[in-house]
Amino acid sequence: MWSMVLKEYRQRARGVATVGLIIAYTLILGGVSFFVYLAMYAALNAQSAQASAAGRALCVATFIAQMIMALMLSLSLNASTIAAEKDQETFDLLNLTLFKSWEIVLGKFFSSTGFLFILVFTAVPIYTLAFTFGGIDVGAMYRLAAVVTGTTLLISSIGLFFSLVSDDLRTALGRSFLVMIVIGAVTLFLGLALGGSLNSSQPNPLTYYGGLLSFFINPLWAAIDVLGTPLSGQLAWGSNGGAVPYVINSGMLWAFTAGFQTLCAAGLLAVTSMIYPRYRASRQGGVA
Amino acid sequence: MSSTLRQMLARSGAGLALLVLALCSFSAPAQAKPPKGITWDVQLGYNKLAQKGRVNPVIVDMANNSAGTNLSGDLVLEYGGIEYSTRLELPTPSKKRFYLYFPCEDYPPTLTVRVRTKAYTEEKMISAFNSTIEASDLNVLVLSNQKGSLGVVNQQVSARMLRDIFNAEHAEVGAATVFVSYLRLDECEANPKFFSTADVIVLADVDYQQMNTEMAEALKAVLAGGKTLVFSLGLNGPAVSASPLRDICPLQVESTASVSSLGQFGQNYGISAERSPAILAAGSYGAGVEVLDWAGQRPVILRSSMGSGTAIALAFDFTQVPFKQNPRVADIFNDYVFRVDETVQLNNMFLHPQPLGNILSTLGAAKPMEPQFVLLFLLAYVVLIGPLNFFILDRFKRRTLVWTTIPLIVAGFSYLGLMTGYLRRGANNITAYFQEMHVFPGAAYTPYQTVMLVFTAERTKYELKVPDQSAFLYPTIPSPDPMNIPAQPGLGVFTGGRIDNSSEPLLKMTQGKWDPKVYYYQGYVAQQVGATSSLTGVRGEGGLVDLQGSFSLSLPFDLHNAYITGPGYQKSIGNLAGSGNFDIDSLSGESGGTQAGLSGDNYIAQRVSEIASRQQQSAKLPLSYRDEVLLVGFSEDIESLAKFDRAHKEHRLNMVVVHLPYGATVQQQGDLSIARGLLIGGKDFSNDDQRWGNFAPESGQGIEKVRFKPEGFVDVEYEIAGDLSRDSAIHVSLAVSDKNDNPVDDASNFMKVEIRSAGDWQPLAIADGTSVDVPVSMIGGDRRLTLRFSSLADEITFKLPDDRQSVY
Repeated sequence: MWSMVLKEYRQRARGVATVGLIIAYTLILGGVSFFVYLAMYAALNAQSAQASAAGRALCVATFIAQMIMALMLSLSLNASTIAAEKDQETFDLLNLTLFKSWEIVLGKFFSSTGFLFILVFTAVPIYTLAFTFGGIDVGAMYRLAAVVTGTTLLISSIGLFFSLVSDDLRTALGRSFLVMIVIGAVTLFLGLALGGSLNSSQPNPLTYYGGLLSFFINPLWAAIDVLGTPLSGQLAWGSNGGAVPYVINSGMLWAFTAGFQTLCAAGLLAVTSMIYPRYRASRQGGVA
Repeated sequence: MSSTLRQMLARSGAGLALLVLALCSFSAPAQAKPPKGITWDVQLGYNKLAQKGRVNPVIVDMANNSAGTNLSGDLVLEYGGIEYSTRLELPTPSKKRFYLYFPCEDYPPTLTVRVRTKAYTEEKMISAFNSTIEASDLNVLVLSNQKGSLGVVNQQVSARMLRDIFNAEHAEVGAATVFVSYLRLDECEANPKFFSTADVIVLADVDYQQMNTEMAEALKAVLAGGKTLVFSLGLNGPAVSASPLRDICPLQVESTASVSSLGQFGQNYGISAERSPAILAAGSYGAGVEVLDWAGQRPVILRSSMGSGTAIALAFDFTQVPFKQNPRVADIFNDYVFRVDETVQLNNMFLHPQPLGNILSTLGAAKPMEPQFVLLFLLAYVVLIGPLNFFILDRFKRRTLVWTTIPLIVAGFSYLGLMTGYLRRGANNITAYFQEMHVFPGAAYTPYQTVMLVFTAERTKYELKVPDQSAFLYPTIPSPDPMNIPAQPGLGVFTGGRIDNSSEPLLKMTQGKWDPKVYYYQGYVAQQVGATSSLTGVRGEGGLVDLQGSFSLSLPFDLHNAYITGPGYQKSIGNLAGSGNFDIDSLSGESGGTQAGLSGDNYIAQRVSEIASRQQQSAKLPLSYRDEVLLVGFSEDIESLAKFDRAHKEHRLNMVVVHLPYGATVQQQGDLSIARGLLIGGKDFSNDDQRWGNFAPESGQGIEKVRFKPEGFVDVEYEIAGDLSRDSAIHVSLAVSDKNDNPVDDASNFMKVEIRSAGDWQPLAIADGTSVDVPVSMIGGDRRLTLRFSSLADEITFKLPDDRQSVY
């Protein structure tokens, strides 16, 4: 498995696409930060805005831009990782190797996700720039990093799954993005429904459990909890409302989200590994 | 999809579902049942009444008669996500009363009170949805053994002044509903915080044996802060004289007398003592005491100023005949206790803490980096991590090292970013205090408010302790709605900390790296400060036109950048010694006052003129009700703070406001004009301008137009300047509209106008339906006249005559 990962990394290091991706990624993040700072500079100079507000704004803007790019890139990279082999007709050659199915799946996953993490890591200096203004502390940055990690893992595993079950790259990308849009919309809606009920009465079971699941799946809620107004303290149901009061009042929503997303990613990778032999066997000369 | 695949997916789906269920099954830690023998009861506010915009008490009575369970832990009140706690130690068998406090924001509170001990935890929810009164309502606390003894004033509408720090930055005048609560003395905590919710504290049939020194000092402190303290004497009089409250009671009771005639006072209020003789306290009173009403030769209502507050002595006991449950007692309270000038509390004069917090917050802020520097930093990073990195490695044919060089570049630039932070924000924790203290002649307590900035250069846990048990520490600065429209004012975000306000406020908190936080507290300090005044002032149409005389000070520090301010009056006097006698004419603005020499890179120096301007704005309305000027100065040389840099770890700046009363006279030459026109009282009326609710903002013209309910009235006091011999009468125009807002031609069918003369209300004829003429002979020697405008119809609106066009 590691030889496959190493091979992928060597290949990426030599490719022009990698340079382009890193430049584009840092340029976009840096550009977003710079323009947000530029927008706040006049207010800072006139002391009508506080530096902490600028720091928070920079951090939020960087986080949003990073999440959007991480989502797009992790889906694209992972959805193409096996589907591209099929398009280039190298999938059969890959299957002829002595790698076990789970080794292929994890190798593909680690090589693309590892590259993604390097990209995510390149945003750190931009965060430190925001950090020097105050308004956000190190703990919040760690918590955000955990949420970004969990989300990247989950999205990557979804991309990889569709990469395997789709016949070509275009289908894999289409399916992956469709699923992500549906998950994003549903979790946004259910999360909003649950969030809206926090200060009134306890909602029906669908909204309750659906909302709770949305809090775990959609990183938006954890990010709001870390960066914006904490969800805790808004609950009007008392402490007998089941899981929700604990989840949102413990100040650990970020950990629940990151943990749940990682577990889901692991589960999906396990499923992908389990169904991989089926696709391997369907090809001539496949080894289970 | 094959059946194998479906099976595998089904298995995985089931696994995921189980995982979700396992996560969903998390719930709050189980709460054990209370051990047998432990009982506790929670009471919100005074008589379960919470008031918005105030610090409210929560009284918890707890008894531990369990078999061997000693309770040790915390009693926690959770409100708005913030925990207000107190230490709970209750061995068995014992019982104890605990007091918790919370600042009620602009909505009915829902509270959770929690017993959190090692032995067990339990919580009770309190919702005050139906028992929360508005910040603008007048809160009357009666200390009495008889509930309902002052029921005649409950829910009546009266006039008052208000500054709700959760809702507006400035003081306002308007109509307020009176709410009366009753507590026994032993139910109250001997701490000024306990009485901070009340506007008026009435000492009715109190068991003065229980009035210990701590309780008396707490009452004296809140009196200095602006509360109105009413002594209901009668047979209680001798007990008051023997109590620690003796020195603040306007009447030093020496005896009591049973009278069957209440003289002029009885006649005015329709209270007869013929069938049931009234017991009146008799005694002496000091020079600063004003007798407001007489029962024959006996003073029956006396008033004295104590600090910002007022002490009123009723020579009778309203819980006894012929006053007991007499509806006319409501009129007495309305005329003498609930007047606007009696509700000018210090809260109405304090600067709002939010602008101060904003000023201090700039201390923790980094100076903004030039955008060019930010651009250069980002461009350098992008170029280095991307093209340059790959190009160099390509030249050395070591392209695969890119996975090593990228983290190194990231780490290097992150370090550079942090170093930029250290250069700009420093490595020291900083605290900065701004304390506003109000000194009143003769007051034993100095009320203060403090805004404090805590800036932490590193993430750290800290404890903040305020060494004053009268202080209440807010978790953040209350934010008013700048437009005065009820929106979302409140305390903002505060997480992860806990405040114990039960004695000396203690906050435990974790604060992040380069993180500034601003806190706010109010309290009373018993300080040996003194001020006397023998100033005289002449008031004209534009306010104070001349100020003469002298004043003396005995302060523990000199005043810098001082100025004297009053209604329409401002004089910069530069630096002033803390002790000495000063003639007003000899004080000149030799150093240019607040604007002098304040240059440089200094957070206070840059803002001191802003502070001074806000202070004048903040005191504008309250000062117009008081014959006093304010001497304002700073306790430190502001210039020394110009040397501020991040190496300094602590800064404290006191703004001292000395209240100097002056003998007011009115300009007596020239044309007749209104030197002052103030709404001082009223009943069953409301502000007609519904944009502002029942209160008119200070920034506008105040209340201009009132809407009367049947039998409602307002009292307006005018002070007339000019040569009274020029005219035989003052002409007052009336602008009345019916309930449909249509102007009426003949006001006499809709309202009546009376003038207060010799303690009685004399009717004035409404000539030609639109005006009244007040004979100059009815204007008192102090050139003041009080007019009462009353409604005769169902509902009318009435524009207050308050300018030269309507009164001349």
